[in-house]
Amino acid sequence: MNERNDNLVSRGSSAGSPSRVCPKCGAPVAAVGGEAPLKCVRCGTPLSASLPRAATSPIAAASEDRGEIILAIDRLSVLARNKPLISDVNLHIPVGKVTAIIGPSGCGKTTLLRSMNRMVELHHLQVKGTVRYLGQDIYGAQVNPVLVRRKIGMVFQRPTVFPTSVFENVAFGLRLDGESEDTVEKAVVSSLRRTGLWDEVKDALDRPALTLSGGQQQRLCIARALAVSPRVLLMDEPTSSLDPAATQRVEDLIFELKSDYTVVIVTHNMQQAARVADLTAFMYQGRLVEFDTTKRVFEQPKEKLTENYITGRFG
Amino acid sequence: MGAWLGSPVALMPLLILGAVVAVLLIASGLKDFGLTFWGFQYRFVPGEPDASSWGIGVFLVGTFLTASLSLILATALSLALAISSVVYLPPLPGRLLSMVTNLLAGIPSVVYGIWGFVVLAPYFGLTLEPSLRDVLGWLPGFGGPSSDIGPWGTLLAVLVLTIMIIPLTTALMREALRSVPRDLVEAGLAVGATRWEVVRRVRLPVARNGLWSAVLLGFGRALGESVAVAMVIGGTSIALPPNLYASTTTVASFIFSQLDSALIYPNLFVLLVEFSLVLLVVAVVVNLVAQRFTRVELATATTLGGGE
Ligand SMILES: Nc1ncnc2c1ncn2[C@@H]1O[C@H](COP(=O)(O)OP(=O)(O)O)[C@@H](O)[C@H]1O
Ligand SMILES: [Mg+2]
Repeated sequence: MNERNDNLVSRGSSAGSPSRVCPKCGAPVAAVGGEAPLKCVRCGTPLSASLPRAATSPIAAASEDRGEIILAIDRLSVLARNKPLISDVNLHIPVGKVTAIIGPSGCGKTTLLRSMNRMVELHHLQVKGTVRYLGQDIYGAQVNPVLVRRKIGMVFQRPTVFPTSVFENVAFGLRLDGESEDTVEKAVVSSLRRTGLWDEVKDALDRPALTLSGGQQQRLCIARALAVSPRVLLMDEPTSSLDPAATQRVEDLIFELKSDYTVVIVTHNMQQAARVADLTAFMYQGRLVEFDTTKRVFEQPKEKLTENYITGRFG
Repeated sequence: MGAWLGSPVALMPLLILGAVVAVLLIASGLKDFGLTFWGFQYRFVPGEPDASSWGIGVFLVGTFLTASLSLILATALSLALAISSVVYLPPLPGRLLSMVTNLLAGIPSVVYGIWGFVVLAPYFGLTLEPSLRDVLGWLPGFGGPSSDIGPWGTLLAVLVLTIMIIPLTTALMREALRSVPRDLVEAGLAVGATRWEVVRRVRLPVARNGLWSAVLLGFGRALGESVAVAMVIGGTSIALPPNLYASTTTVASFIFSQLDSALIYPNLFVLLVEFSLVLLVVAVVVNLVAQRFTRVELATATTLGGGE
């Protein structure tokens, strides 16, 4: 639970270990697909350049200076029966920040988000290009998608609580590992505290989760995602079914989560992006048009398309 | 009140049920066979009503025994089939599997009966029964001698019934599993559950009522099956079967197989009518319970759908 294992190949901690480790801190250095990070992902020690350097695109390179990259998306296209839903997207998501993806409806935001933890595969979509999590290609042949989703959790547009109790909803992922009752309980309580739900539900842990309000249900889903200790949280319009007060609470929560998690949030509400996100990516018709700090995207966009969108000229 | 009175079409099923019950009641003349009707003694001595006894017990035991055993087998198999076609198979083979099972549901039961009689029976007698006795002989019911009339008996009827109800239960279970909201399935996967873990911890619990309803409707079907069962169950001895290989009989198959005698003996005719009334009551009860489950299912689905 406490120790972080970023190995995506097998559930055990030792099996399938990466071929290299950082000489200073011993953190695994994944070299999947011949590409490896230049710095240790944990302690920042420079690594020898014997491994080939990843080819980076201009947009990706521009984001290098925003800190350590936790998710590196390069030349990513997702196709449905040979029809591209998103094309040639390059996006490097820095650790510990909130990154928003905005754009008109149908532009591929959800598809891009769902390609970040291999959920696109569930819809029989074809993926080209790479998505690297701390250097490991999550679509690598040996990678187990189940472990990818544990490291990169997801919250959906509408609350997706299971028809069980509040407690069991949060415990769902932990039960899969057969954790001891004690561990499960600790993790459930700490996740509920983390999402600010504890005070509201601490006397109702055995109640059916479906009896909670919509806003509470959505925060319960966030707690459930956090309980398996992911490092990235993907959120697909998490407040679109909520009233303004519940939306406010979720936004506050996203802001607080930044200290421990990397958040990627899809929203078609530009004000929301402006409120919660450090970085904003603008998509249009399956392409990533602009990616920069939220301030710059909203105040001095480089692209005409972006400007038109944020000034409300379409969308 | 006017709403349903106003639509005679809506009353049709009720009228039909009423008519069936009324006709059966009149045909039986409500003849009282005495308390022995509910007993386990059945002895029909033509022309000597006083020497005869008319217990339905053995038939009911045969009915519930064959129906329950086939239901256990059918539930396991159709659950496996439904899960693989909904969860594991790619769309095309999944649809193909559904198509074939639906096709099987449309085959007349007499065809299953003749297949059981001609094809399954010899295989059962020569291969299956001896190996079952070897392997499971220590279990009550699985040891002991063969039926004295050949392979025809309880277990053969169970196997034929199983094959007959699998298409129905599979189709219903598939619907139940399919109706699990996709969001919930993906939410399970998104916390890092495997597909199997999602089946076990999300799909099955969420679809629980629909699955129960499938099981009960399959049970209803098995209880009422007459032709095919009559063809393979032996039906010669009207006594509790000493083991699963022994021949026995069920209410439905007995009614079916005695119709010709009933034309000659009025007492037997009336008895069969009353037997069918009992069967009708059992079937109605099973179906009502099944429908209760379906209704609960709909209620859960709507709660799940609504957010705030
Ligand atoms: N599984 C799929 N198969 C085919 N087309 C899809 C699929 N999922 C989404 N699309 C299409 O891809 C486009 C982008 O969808 P999406 O990523 O959901 O956009 P957004 O979230 O920005 O509204 C839409 O035109 C949508 O119809
Ligand atoms: Mg979307």
